Amino acid sequence: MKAIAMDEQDWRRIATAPDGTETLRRRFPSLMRETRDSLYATLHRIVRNDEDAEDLLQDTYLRALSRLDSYRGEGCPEAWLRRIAVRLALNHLRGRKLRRMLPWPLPRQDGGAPVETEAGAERRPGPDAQARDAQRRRRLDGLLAQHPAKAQAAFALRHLEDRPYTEIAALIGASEATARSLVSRTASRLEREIRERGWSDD
Amino acid sequence: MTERNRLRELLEPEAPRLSQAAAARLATRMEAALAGPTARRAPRWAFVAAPALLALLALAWLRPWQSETPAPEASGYFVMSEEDYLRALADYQASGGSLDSVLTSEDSDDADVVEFDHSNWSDEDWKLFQRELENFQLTDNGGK
Repeated sequence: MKAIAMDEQDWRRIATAPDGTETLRRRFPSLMRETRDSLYATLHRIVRNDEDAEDLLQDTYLRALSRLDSYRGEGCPEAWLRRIAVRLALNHLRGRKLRRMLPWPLPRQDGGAPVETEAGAERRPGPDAQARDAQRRRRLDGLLAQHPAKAQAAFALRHLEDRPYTEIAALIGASEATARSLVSRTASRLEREIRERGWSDD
Repeated sequence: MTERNRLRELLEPEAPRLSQAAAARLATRMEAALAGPTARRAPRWAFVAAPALLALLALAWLRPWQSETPAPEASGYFVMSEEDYLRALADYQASGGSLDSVLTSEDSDDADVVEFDHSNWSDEDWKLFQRELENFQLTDNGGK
């Protein structure tokens, strides 16, 4: 059976109906299937780690499930879920920064190996280039992690997800001007690193 | 290639994808969550906040800093004013150490005379009272 696409008005009608919460709860598994890949990508781009992104994805759905009654149909459920996900990711980044400041070591949370895709394998560079790029990526991740949580999230949402500034501002809870400034400063610093190290020439 | 494109290429050589194993873990967890309210994970801060809140509530309820020592009368002690005590002591001394002179008065009509209700005193109460009077006398006489 072909799924019927629902628009914003349909969702609003469901959310504001007397038994809206129950209906949303029934539809939650399919909503999860439709949104999990996109939300995971957003979370991964912000926290830059497989395991943390997976945990945060789970927390996002659990949080949403426990607050189904707070969804009143303003925007599609995916936007509502993305807002929850980004807030959780911001909290996670702040916690990560705090953990780095602790004087005692904490166990590292290394992500598992990503699933290989056919398309990825075709355009994959050789082992040497892969190792070199991985090293550069770690260096850039380290630089990115030095920025405030909101700056990291805003940069990922703009440069890796191509989201408009109005949406970024709403997602990170800041004004549009602040979002622009955060993205610009973060990107400038990373681009300068690439330029100074000559990484753009290969 | 511009720095911007190179930056994106370096940061994300390919789009992040949720692995099948992770998707299965998520589905299992969410099935449990949808099955009942007990499946929801308690936030980590709750393990610290809940006992702290209980302790605060207990403190607010008990208010140990405001506790008062119960009045001596409430604990069953016999209480007399300093004035009464000194008068009883004077009678005791004048009578040469007779408790009867302290507890009975010749001028019972006099409003100032204290009438002690000693009907419920035990032997121990008598001894304590006598000891108090004697100790006071010793102190009053400079220990002689």
